[in-house]
Amino acid sequence: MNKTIDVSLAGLLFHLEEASYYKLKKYLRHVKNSLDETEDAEEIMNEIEARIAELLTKKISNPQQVIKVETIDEIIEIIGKPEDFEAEKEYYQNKESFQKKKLFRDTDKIIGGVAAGFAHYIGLDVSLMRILFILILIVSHGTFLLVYILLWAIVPKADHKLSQSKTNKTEFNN
Amino acid sequence: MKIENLKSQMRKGVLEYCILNVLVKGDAYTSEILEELKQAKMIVVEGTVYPLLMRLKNGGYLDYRWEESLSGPPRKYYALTKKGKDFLKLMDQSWTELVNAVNHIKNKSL
Repeated sequence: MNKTIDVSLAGLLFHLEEASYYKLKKYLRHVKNSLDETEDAEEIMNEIEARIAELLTKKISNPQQVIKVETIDEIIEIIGKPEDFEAEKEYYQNKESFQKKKLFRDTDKIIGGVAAGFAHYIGLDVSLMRILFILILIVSHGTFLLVYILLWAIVPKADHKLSQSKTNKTEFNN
Repeated sequence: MKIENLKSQMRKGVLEYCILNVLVKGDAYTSEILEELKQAKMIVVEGTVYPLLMRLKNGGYLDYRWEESLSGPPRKYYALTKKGKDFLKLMDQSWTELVNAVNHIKNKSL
C-alpha cells in the first residue's frame, strides 16, 4: 500500500506517489534556488510548472492515474537540472558573480592599497587615482591623511590582486 | 579551452535569435518553441529557454496571450511585437555579417 499526494500544477490536479512528490518538490526547489532573485524568477517557475503539468498530462492515460517516480525522472531529464541549463550559466547558479561590488584594499599597493582599491571599485586607472589622492591630500592641507588611515583600518583587505578578481570577470561578461 | 564551453558560448549568443526566428513564422506556445529548438539541436534541456523567453517578453520584444487547451493546462502563446520584429531585422543583419566574416577568413588563401 502506497500513500499518494495530490498536487495542483498550473491549475491541474495530479496524484503523485509519495516518493514522486518529494522528488518533484526537491527538483522545483533546486531550480528555484538556482535562479537569481530577479523579477523573472517567479515567472520562470510558473512556466516550468505549466510545462511539467503539460508533460504529465501527456504521460498519463487518465487523470486518476498515479504518477510514479520514473515519470518524474523522465520529466526532469527533459527540462534538465539547473547545472545543465548551459546557455544561461550566469543567470542560473553562480550567485557569486551577482554579489555587489565591494570595496577592498588591493594587495597590489604602494602604501595601504586604499587608492588601488578605490580605483578598482570605480573602474579608474590606479595611477590616476593615486595622483588624485595626492592632490586631495595637498588641497585638504593634510587632513586627508587621517581619512586615508581611517580607510586603511576600515576597508577589508582583498585576498588576492583585485585585477584578477571575480568582480573584474563579471564586468567582462557584461 | 574545452570544446563544450566554446560550443555553449556560441549557442548562447544565437539562442535568442533562434527564438525570434521561430516566432517570426507565426505565434507559438512555449512547448512548440521548445520542440522546434530541440529538433534543430539548438538546445539539449528545455530549462535553458525559459529565462531567455522571460527576458525577451519583459524587454517588450514578445507579447503573449492565453489560450485554452483541450488536453492540458492553458497555453501561453507568444508573438513578436513591433519592437521584436525590428530587433530581428538588426539581428539578421549582424548574423549575415558574422557568417560572411567567418567565411571570408576561412576561404581567404594565403
